[in-house]
Amino acid sequence: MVSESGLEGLRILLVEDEYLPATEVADMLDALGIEVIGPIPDLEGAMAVAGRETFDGAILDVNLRGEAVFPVAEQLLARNTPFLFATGYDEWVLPERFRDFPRLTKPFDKLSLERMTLRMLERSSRPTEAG
Amino acid sequence: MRRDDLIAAAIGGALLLAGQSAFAQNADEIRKGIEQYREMLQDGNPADLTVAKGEALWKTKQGPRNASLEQCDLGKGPGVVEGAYAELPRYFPDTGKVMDAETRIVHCIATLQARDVVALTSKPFSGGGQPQTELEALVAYVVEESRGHPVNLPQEHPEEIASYRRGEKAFFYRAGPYDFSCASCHSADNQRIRLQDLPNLTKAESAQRALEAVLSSISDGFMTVDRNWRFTRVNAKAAAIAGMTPEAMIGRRVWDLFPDTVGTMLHRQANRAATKRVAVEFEYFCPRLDRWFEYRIYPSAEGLTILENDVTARKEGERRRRLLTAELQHRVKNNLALIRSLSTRTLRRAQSLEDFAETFEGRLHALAVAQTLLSRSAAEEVDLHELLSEELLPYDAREGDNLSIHGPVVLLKPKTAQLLGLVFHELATNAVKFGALTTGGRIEIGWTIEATKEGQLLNWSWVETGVPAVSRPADAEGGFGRDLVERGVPYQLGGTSRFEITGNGARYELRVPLTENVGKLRLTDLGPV
Repeated sequence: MVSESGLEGLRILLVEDEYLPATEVADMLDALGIEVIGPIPDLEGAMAVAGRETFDGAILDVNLRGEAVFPVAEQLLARNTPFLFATGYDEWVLPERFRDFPRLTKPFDKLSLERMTLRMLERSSRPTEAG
Repeated sequence: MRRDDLIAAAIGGALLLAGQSAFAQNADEIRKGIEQYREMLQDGNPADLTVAKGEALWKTKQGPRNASLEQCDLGKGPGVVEGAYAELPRYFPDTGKVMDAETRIVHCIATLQARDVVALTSKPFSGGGQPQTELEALVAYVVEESRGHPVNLPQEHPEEIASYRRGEKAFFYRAGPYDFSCASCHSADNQRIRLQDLPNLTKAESAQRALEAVLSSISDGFMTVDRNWRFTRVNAKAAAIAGMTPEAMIGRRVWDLFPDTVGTMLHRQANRAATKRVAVEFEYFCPRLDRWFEYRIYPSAEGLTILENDVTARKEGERRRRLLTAELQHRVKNNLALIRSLSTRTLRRAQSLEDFAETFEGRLHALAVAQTLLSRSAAEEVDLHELLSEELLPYDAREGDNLSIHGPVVLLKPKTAQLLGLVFHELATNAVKFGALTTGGRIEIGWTIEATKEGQLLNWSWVETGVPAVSRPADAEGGFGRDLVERGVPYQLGGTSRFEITGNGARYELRVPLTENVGKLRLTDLGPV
């Protein structure tokens, strides 16, 4: 059964380096009616997919096999695709320019995932301050 | 008593040298004598024994009244010894006289203990080489109890003032064959007879030198500036921090010498101290020196006094602690996320609540085993062999019997150890279920390291034999263990994996690149040399 989340039919990239949490989040997204791109476990793979595919948003684990996910975030920022961080790190550990982005604190449940995904999409639909 | 002799000789020598200096002006030798004396005092002053003896005498009940001297009033009230000597001699209303420590103690012995004091007072001082007299010991104790109290001679009662005048007169009275007064030796510069080379603070020049000596000895940077922001004093440390000499700084204006600090917090805070006349304290990062400093700036009559302390090491420690805590938080949360996904996964296939509880507990235990091994290692690595043994321990698997484990020493990183710990646990559970560990089967686990163009590859296999084919349904391994092997390991660790059911058992194979993030071969494992 697909819930009435307003998220049905969206395509979301999922980047997460651990197998079990990755499959669990993918299942949650699936239950929200979201089509999952990935999950992708490493930076190289994520960069490739981010450069190749089109999608509505991305959920990014911060630490990928010892590498930071920020190059992917930069790429998404450049092409105006919204994203959120899913991490166990406190926000001050993130580089300053990424501290204001939506963040899901691990572990999280389906409801938090749904809310934060909605917030991520709302943010992107607002006109940019610089614009 | 060899040490006492040495000390006596040193005191004698120093005194002799000091005496000679009055004539020979041999300041160097005096200094050497004093240094030698101080060195000997380093491992204990024998006078401490006299103090202890005095304290015992003070507190011992004796005499016709069988009383101690503890209620003796030394001027600060009965029973108060601490600090009393610093205020003696003084006027005592009960005797109507100005009394010094000795006479007051004798008075107490006579009144409190009712002892005959003639014997005490007829020979108040010991001769050379003799043990200290009772009075000397008592005085030593009383004096010791005033250590650290500044001399504060009472000069209020007319008798006290008169007594002071008489003493002053006697001090300067010249008499005898040499026509000396006390002052001849003890008051004039360079004629002091004593065992301390203290500066003469009554003379401006030597007081200045003494101040400079103190300032150069402290480990904080010290500077003073006048109201025009010109440096008036800079100690060696402050100059060293600036990479200059005190001479190069004194007389120059602060903001001319250090233009890079203009407009910074240092500039603002110093201005605040100067204009508002308040003390300020703050930490400041100096980009020019790439170091953190703690500043304390106090307004002074002249301008400002500035203390500067390099706190870079402390700041670095704080930063490291913060990062370590954040990293720990991150791992705890990641582990919770892993456990969450494990429970969701287990729940989905559970036949009943009991089934869930049993399966989940087993998997949680497998994670705990990996965690325990990780926490044992300072480098946070787990020995692959050890991980296997520990994970198989609950399943009646004994090496050399129904189990063999062979391979070089491979050390696994935390996430790898967690995942493989779960894999091993699942394979062991299946082995029990399908017979390899219950119906006379065997498990052979082995691995080798293969060198490839991309780096080292871990070739790992788990081979079950001696299991009747009938006991294992063809699709039996569609469960969690097989999923972890076939999908989990390639996803998380990279590489490839394979599972096959053989005629008399099953075979799992992993080919995992030994990247920095996965683990490494221990190179020291070369056997005995």
